[in-house]
Amino acid sequence: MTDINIINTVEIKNGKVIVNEKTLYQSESDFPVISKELYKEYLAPYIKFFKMDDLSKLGVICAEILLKDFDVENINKNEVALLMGNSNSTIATDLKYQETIKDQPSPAIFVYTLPNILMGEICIKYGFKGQNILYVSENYSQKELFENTQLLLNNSSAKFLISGWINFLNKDDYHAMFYLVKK
Amino acid sequence: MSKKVNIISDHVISALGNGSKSNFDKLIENQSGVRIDKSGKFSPNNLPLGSINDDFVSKWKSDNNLSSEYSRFETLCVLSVSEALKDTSVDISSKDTLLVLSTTKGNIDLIDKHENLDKLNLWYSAKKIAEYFNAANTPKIISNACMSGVAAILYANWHILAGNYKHAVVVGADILSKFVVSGFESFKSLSSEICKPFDRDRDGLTMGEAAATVVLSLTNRGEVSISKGATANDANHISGPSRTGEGLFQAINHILDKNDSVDFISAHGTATPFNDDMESVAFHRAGLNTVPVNSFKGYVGHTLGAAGVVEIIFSIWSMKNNTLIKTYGYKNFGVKEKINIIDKNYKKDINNVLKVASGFGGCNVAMLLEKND
Repeated sequence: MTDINIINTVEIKNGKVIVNEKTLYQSESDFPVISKELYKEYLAPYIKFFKMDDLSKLGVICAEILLKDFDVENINKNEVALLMGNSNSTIATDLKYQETIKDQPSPAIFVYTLPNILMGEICIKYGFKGQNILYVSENYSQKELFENTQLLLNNSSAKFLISGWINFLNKDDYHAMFYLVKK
Repeated sequence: MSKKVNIISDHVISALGNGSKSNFDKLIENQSGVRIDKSGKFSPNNLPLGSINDDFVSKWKSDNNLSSEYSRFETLCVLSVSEALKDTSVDISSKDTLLVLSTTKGNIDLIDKHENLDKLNLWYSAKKIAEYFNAANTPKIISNACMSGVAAILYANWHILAGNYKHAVVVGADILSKFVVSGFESFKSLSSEICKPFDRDRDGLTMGEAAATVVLSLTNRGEVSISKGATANDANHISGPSRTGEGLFQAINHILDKNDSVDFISAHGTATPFNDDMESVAFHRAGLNTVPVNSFKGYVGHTLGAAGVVEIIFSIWSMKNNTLIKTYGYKNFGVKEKINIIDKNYKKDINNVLKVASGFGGCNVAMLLEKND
């Protein structure tokens, strides 16, 4: 575990954005309000954001803040890998899609009923083409995340890794904890 | 010599029946397990689906005194793991053994049953399966869309090579549900006939369900071992593959070098127009256009989180029998780049197999399997 070289960390939870242990943003609002504010501050204009489900929105916002001082353009995109852990898969989106089945099943919602889609969204945003692994675990454990991070680093040519925990249960219960790791 | 992880045992339950051998016997006879479903359970339309015989599953459940608390999904996983472990000395209740579950949607059929939503969690099912076997270690779960099965085997392989475990039991499973079938229908991705991979008239995929297990071991010998594997992302589109086959090409390119020979490619071959074109482009770019390639999707349907495990098992049986299996549903060549599609069964020495898979989210995986000396 000592081999893991962390460049940056970003945590988003309970209306707070914490970057390298410093609070960057704080709000009493729920996720729909917070995600819009963070979008305006960090991502705009990125129209694709508005078709994403909340899990992907959380992931893309967290990745953008994680990478804001990182020279994304001057690295080999094939050498950036993603490893994500998650607990409730896409339950919030599953329930939304289920509502549409009765009437007209929505392909636009259905496509977000897979947890790895959020990694796809991050890869599309930055052009990252390295390894992708998504694991599911009941609770967040930094020990487990770092164990998986080490496995991926040992088994890929990646020079950088976005390693993180990301979960979205509902508008008040969500958590993203991303690490930018250098091999 | 470097350490190698052996695949020492396997089991499949699918639309073709129960057990790897009975599945492979049907492949040899070029019989598909896909049938037109008129039950209305999954779709208002009469769709071809690869379903598992429910009477068999219920009988297995009562014969083995499995508690009624086990869902259909969990029952299939327990069944497959139990069968795969028979005749092996691998014990899940030992600290040396890791259990890995590969699935996309687990108990998703329960979403409209007004049950406790906790049961929809993939870790809920993994816990139930682990409990049945008194697993010593917390089970791991990999959920990477349609590449889940191959990715889960790759992940288990990494754990074993790192010295964390001596053995791993990887079970891949997904079941048919209104949720998933309606989703693919809404995408207009489903064919009204049994799918026709790589064919000029292909018009979509066929859904199926399966549970499949491989037992991996560092210390116990098997006929086939895992040589290497890698994943890669297209960074292109969340629901469509890259037209240049970028991610799949990168995944293949990561693992193959000049000294590697490939005797057979088990493609993802879903029979959607885009997927099969994309694969032909990626194989062509990787210089694999003369290597015999098939898709097993016409035999059992697309079984999502089980597919990679199912197809690796079918590939292992092809290697053991030195027999290449025809692509069911394929008649007329119809993909973008010239590739060598297997259109009838034939004998060939198969020592190295390249297994690939791609899925939503732009994910791709490639794995090289080799026959042991």
